[in-house]
Amino acid sequence: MSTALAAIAPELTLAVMALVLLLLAAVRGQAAARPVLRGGAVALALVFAVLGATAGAPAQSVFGDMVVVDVFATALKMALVLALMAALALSAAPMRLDNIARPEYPIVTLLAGVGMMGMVSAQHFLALYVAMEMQALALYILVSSGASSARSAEAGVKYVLLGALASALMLFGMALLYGATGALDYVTIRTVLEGVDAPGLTVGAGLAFLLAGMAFKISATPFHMWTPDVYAGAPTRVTTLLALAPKIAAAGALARLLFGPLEPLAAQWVPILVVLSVASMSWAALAGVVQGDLKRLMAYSTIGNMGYMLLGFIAGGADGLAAALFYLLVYVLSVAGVFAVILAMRRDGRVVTEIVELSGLARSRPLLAAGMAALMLSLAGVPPLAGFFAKFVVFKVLIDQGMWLLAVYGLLTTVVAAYYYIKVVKVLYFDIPAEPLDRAPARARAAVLAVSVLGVVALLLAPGLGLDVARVAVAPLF
Amino acid sequence: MADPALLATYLPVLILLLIAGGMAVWMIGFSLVLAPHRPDPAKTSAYECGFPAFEGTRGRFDVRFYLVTLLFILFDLEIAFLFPWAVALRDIGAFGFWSMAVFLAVLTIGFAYEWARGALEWE
Repeated sequence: MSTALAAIAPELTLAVMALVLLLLAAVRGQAAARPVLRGGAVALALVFAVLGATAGAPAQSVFGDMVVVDVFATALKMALVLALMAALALSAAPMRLDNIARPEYPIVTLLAGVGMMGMVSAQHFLALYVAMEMQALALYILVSSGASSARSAEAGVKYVLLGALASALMLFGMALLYGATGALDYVTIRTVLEGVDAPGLTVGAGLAFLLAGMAFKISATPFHMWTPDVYAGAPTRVTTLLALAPKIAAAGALARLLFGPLEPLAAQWVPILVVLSVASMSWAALAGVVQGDLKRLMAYSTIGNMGYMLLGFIAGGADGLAAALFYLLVYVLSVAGVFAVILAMRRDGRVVTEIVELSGLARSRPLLAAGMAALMLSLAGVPPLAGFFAKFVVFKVLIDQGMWLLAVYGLLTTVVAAYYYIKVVKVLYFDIPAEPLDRAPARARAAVLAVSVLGVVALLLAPGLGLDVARVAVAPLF
Repeated sequence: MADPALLATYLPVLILLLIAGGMAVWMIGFSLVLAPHRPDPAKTSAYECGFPAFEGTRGRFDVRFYLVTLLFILFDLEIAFLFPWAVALRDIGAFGFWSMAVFLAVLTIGFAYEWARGALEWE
């Protein structure tokens, strides 16, 4: 038992800290907002240290093989913790300025983090479902946490209803697979499916439902409909969290499923992923062009980027998954910085999110504008920034597998999508300056932006390093 | 498809279904036949938690009702977990005992939080 508890020490640490902070919030009330935020950051730092200390430990399955702790899980959890830290750091300034600092916000974020960490360690349908619901419930609360804002409430209701639908689809898929294989744990399912020559209708339908639910979580077209509305309606600090952490968790869970129990069904799921990926890349490229709101634009950016990430899954094998993971991490790194800029957009104390509000920002805030421009160019895939290497690696594994057509199609959608990223750069540098944005000192925001921009630029110095790390991380799945 | 031995293990469920159905028929049937019938509008209208059963769905009510309902469901579930746990405690040993203790501790912290934050105050 003690080994099992030691294996999930990071999750336990986070959960216990969340409860301690909840007690603090109970005792001190509203006044606890700042200490709880600090406590949350300390908790995440602690978890990061625990993860770092156990990163080299051999893989082990605990709790009756429900939970697996290996390098893949540990690496993704470290990325998750960093994403949560960035989201928490970025939430401090807007909540203080809007005078809505609440101790509950960091606590619910930590609890969402516990669920996400569970997702990447789940090795059993029930463990996966429980972890997924845990993060989803916490995110529903956060999305609707905009103080007396009708849009935030609307976004929350949409997210809850569609999220519940996705959960139901996924559960149905799990039930069908259970019916076909008689097992809920990944190892047994894989053994049973390997013994089947031609999978029947039950297995096929189960796979399709399961993938539909997962596609909702990573917001791949045609299951993306919630993304722009929820991104735009949720408070920007929550949108930041939504764009970063749940994508890591869902991609990790998807990788475990596809290259674990569902590996024998690769012939069935590759075509499904191709459809999801092509649809995501195309739709995001086209719909993104007409967006005027930066948050909605970032929603379409997410959808498109998830499409490119899926290309790595389609290429398959350790190389393909490593490319996908590398792509995901570069995406998370860049998007963290973009949201740091969006959160800096205030005029006369009001939050603004339209792209035109950035007009001529290069004149009044040259550093902020340069950072945003670098991130936008990276997202567009302009060399020599990180986004270019990420796309390059993904297309390369596709071509290595002989999937030329898909790689060329991906390249074409990149060109279309580049329009809206570069449009932002044009607005920043060449448009007639709008009223300058408010200057509110926020060290945490500056730090997140600096890390993001430096990371995106500095990858040039060691382009292979990130990919090597990704290769080590995905090794346990193969 | 399924073997008879497996199906046989579901016999208690079938018996439960039959008894439940029989009880329902028995109670409703006898009250139809034997009980006096003096209907009035209040008696025949559907009972729906103190609200009229059919009205506009956009009517407002105090959010505190919702809060109390939520808390009720929470503690109702807690009891639902406690009963089977208590019955099986002899078999699940110290691990089972402490699992429930942790579960109750988490619930208690939540309860302390909502109490301290004033969720239970009606005025």
